[in-house]
Amino acid sequence: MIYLLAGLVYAFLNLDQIAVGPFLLSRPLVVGSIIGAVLGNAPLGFTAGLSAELMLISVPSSGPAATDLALIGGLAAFWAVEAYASRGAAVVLALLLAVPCGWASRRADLLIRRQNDRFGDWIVDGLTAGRERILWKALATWSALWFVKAWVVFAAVSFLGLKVVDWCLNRFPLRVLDGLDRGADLFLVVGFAAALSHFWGRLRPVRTEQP
Amino acid sequence: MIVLARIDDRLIHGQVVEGWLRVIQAHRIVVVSDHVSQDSFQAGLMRLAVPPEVDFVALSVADAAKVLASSQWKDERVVLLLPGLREARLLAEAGWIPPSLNLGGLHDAPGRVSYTPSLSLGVEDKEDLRFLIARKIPIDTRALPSDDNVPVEKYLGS
Amino acid sequence: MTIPVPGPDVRGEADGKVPDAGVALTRTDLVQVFLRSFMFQSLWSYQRMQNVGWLFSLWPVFRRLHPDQEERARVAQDHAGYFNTHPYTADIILGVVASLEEKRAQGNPVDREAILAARKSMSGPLSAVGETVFWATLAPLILIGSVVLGLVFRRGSWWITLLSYLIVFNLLHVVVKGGGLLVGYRRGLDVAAFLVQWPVQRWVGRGAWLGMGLCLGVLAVAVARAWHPAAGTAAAVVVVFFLRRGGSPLFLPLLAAAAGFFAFH
Repeated sequence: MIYLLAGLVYAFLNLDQIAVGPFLLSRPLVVGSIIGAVLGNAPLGFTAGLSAELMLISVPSSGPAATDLALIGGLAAFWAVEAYASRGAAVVLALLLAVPCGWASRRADLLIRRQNDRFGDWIVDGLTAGRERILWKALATWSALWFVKAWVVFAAVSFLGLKVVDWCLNRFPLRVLDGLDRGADLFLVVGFAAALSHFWGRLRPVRTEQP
Repeated sequence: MIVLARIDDRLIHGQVVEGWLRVIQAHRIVVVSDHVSQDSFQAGLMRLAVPPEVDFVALSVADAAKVLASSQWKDERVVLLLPGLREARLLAEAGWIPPSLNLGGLHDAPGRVSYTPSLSLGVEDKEDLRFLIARKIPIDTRALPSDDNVPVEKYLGS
Repeated sequence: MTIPVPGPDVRGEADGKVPDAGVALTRTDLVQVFLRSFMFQSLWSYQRMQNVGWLFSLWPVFRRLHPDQEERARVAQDHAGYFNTHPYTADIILGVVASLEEKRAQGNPVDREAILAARKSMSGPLSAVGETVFWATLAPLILIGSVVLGLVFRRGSWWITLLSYLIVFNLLHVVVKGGGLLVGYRRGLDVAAFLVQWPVQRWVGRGAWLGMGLCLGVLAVAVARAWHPAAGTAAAVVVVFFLRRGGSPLFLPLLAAAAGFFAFH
């Protein structure tokens, strides 16, 4: 089942931001390219991943304000490649659907991370009681839990999302789809413009009078 | 003029430099702390982290109160960083009432109860907070400029 | 306006135990700390953030310096408080604390509160430096540079971009981590004097100029290759305007889709 396979790949790459690293393996460009490769269309996955990575270049990937960029890259690549019609509109719809999913996923993660506090207490109690293997056990357990969660979430969302994308490709009027094809063509232009704005912002930040 | 008076026990860190400084125009960052004003180790590291066009200064509470009273900074845009509510209270007692305070970060420490990832309050913190609220100082609790502002009274509870 | 005084005074009372001047960290210990520090972000919690990653990374040091398990437990408890910094610059702090703990275990009067205070005071600025240098400057710069590299090699260019992005960035990442650990360990608290010599902010500024230049170049190529260069230019200008005005990047895919749609019709 492609959903489970892609989910497995995503869960693995996602470990880069929650367990080991970060080595940039959880960036949308990398996740998108690898999932695209696994599904048989690496260049398309790369394009989807690169578009996501560029447009979201200023979005932090860690900390409270973050969005789950790995999920956005992975879902965008998955839906772009697996959409039943291989046209630009598929890439557009994929990315449009992936962004809110990434945002929502991070919000949901906040709730899960609150449980980590208990984990932390458990570990410190264990260390003070002399159970020193507890560090390894805790990290392994926790990584495994997040791995499974990432796998399940990706498989489920990619499945549902593909239905949505295919529905749109089927039902949208032709003129809309043709327009979206053109939109896909502009994705990289928009992406590079966003990167330009990012660097410009570092040199001449836009400053407001009062925060 | 003081464009931001922020209470953050980590003083200069990622949120301040990349979050707030990117949004506020500031000519100068002033850390108001007796410890840091005497510690070139910390001050040096902080200077490293601050963009070069922003001037960095660490003052003791007493010196800061004097400078604030003298309105030496009225033509500059100054960001004030305070390591805790106590410093804010001391400044208020010395006569400086900030136009608003940003309670951006009091992190988990022994004796504190965690309310949010960026706000933990202990008994003394709450007393200082009540003191400041009684002076009608508007206090917002955003860690980053894009956060929602939760009214600080919510955390005072009992 | 700061009064120059020597660095933080970490001299204090050792805990009265018989000092063991023979105990010292070996190279293996430091290598283990280095490897473990790659899991620094593990078990990140909202309340104490990277405290578990810290304990995990520094554990080989505690094991070497405190053979007695009960004492290790006490040390662990001291080090289990709130901690947060950038994962790449964290190794500098790990090195400094390792060297201070080693001095303490060897009988020098080093106070644990002072070690923890030094750790805390380093964490803020180094987190800012890490954010500015790695996430805000190097990652985007290497990304655009890799895209340029991919454009230069026409055939199969996508994996050249991908590999270049991963390899160049991670080389720097690993060098800063490993080098930081060594520098922190060798210099201890003098590391601040060492670090402030590096014109980090100047490089960041130059990096931003370079990034902007590369972006303009790549943008020109992308617009020229677009189906409708005029629409592409207009879209680029609108996007830059939108972002500079404070628009959220999360809306960009929508903007791009809308731009394409309206340009077509």
